[in-house]
Amino acid sequence: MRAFGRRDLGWLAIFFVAIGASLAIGATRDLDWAWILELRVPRTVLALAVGAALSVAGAVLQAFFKNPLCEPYTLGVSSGATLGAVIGSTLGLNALFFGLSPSALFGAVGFSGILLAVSRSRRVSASTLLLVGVMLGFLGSSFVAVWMAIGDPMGVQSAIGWLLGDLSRAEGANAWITLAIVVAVTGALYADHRSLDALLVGEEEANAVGVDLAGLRTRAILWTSILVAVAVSLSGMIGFVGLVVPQLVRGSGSTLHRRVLPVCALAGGTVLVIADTIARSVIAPYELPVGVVTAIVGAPFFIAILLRKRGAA
Amino acid sequence: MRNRRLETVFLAAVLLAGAAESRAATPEYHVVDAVGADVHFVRTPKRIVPLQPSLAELAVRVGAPIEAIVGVSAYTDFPLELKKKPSIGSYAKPNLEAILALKPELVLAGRDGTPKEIVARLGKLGIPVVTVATETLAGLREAYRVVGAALRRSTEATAALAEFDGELAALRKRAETRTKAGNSAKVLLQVGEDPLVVAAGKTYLNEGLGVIGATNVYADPEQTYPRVSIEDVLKKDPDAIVLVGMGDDVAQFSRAEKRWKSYPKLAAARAGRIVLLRSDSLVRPGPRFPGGLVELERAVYGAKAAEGGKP
Repeated sequence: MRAFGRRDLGWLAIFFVAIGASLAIGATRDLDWAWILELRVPRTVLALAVGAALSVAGAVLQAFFKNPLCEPYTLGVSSGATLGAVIGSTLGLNALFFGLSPSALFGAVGFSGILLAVSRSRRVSASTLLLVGVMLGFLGSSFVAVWMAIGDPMGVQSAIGWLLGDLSRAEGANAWITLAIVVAVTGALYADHRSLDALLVGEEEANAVGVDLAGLRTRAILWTSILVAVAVSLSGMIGFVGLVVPQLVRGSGSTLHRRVLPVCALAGGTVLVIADTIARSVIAPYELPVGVVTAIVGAPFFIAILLRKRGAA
Repeated sequence: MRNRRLETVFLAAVLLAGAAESRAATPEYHVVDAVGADVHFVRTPKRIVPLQPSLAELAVRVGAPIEAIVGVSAYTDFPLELKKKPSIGSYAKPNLEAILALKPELVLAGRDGTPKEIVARLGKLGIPVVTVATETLAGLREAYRVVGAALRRSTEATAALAEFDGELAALRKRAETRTKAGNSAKVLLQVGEDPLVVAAGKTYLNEGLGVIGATNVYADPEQTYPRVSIEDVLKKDPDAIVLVGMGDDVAQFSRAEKRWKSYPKLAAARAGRIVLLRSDSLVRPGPRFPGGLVELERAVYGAKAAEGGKP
């Protein structure tokens, strides 16, 4: 069975157009080439990395919880990572790792662990799990606001920046390092593509074909948490990319993870590059938070899937 | 032979020109700013981008020509000609691309207002950034000196600062007269209504109250702009409530004004000292601040007492 199709060439074409647009469009038209290299290239690379990370994480979480509405943002994992990152940055930990936050990883793993426990402990329905995730998200965001308000009365304002997503901190080598990490982790998840396929069919079936479920669970949680932590510590919370992109990718060809994971990485990066280009150019010299742009497109998409699922049930 | 001489003349000319040029380039100077950064200049900056309205006012006040200000932040409107300059975004989130496109030779930043990442990145990209701390009167006075030095207009800066000091001295003198007469007001400075936010002890507005001989009912020196409750304000019972209007939202302050006036037990309501004061001079810690304090003085003590008469 051929996994990749002609539509995937379409994704590749959109990718190149998006990169071109992102480098050409900005707050100003007369910017030297040197400044474009300095400012727009890292930003485009970071958008690619973050979009890829969120989409791949979304695709894995959807397979894992067998629910198309799962993604780091709706499940609250992003929020856990944000809380971790904010606490870490007040403790001065983030400066040591190119701005990547080890405490964001703890936050993401912690919140994923809670979700996992909830999904294992009782036979909870898919929508209950989702609601638990949404509540975890609220909880995390509220703690972020509290923490920032304690640290600095004006901190609530920067908390809002975190909570709505912002790629403006993209800088030189950090952006490339981030991209490299995301590619490597996606590769690690790719090694499990057959198990993820089996999981989508059902746990018993997966067991029957010899998938080590416990091991897969640990790896999936760990790798997706790393992806989310990387995305969040450099750009705050950006929602719905991890929801919309895997849906589009699955809808545009084979649903085997051998194809879904790499195409999600490519398409997710592309989508976030486009969203960020819009965010930083429509009301220039002011910027929209990029999370606002993704939410305006993503939230209606979420509702549409929800209604279609209800209709099918 | 002839050729030889020509050559010598030519060489001498080249050397002289070189010397002249190097002399023109040498007046290299440097300025240490409010965050301790040592900023070097090869020549007087002719393209200046102030990242806050108050810094634009200060630059012009110490003698920067209007045409040297090549870009400004949102709400910069004094002097009025600056309103037409290209915008670099808001003071809280300046746009790096927009700043760089203006090819600035000097960027003026605020220590507490401008995001630190922006200052750091501009510095890394080789743009001279001078940071000043205008959140206290001492810092604002120092900013005159620093900005004056960066623009090589120290004489003008000294003169402008003397004028600024003179205006403050006149205000302090009137305050002293009032205090001796036993007229010193407890004031609430409200800067936001929804939520209710006040200026507390760690602000330049609080310092301004000191200059006009009034005290802040929220004088906690650790607090800047805390949220407070209506109940607590009623308990503190200020002699005057000044609604310091910022931005364009007048409606919320009119609402606050109406609310405070509806509590007849409030001393400020009885005395008719609930005042909506929309004054850019007062809210921008810049050269017009003493003028803003004159307005505040009038709001707190009434026109007569402000002019030195009896309350």
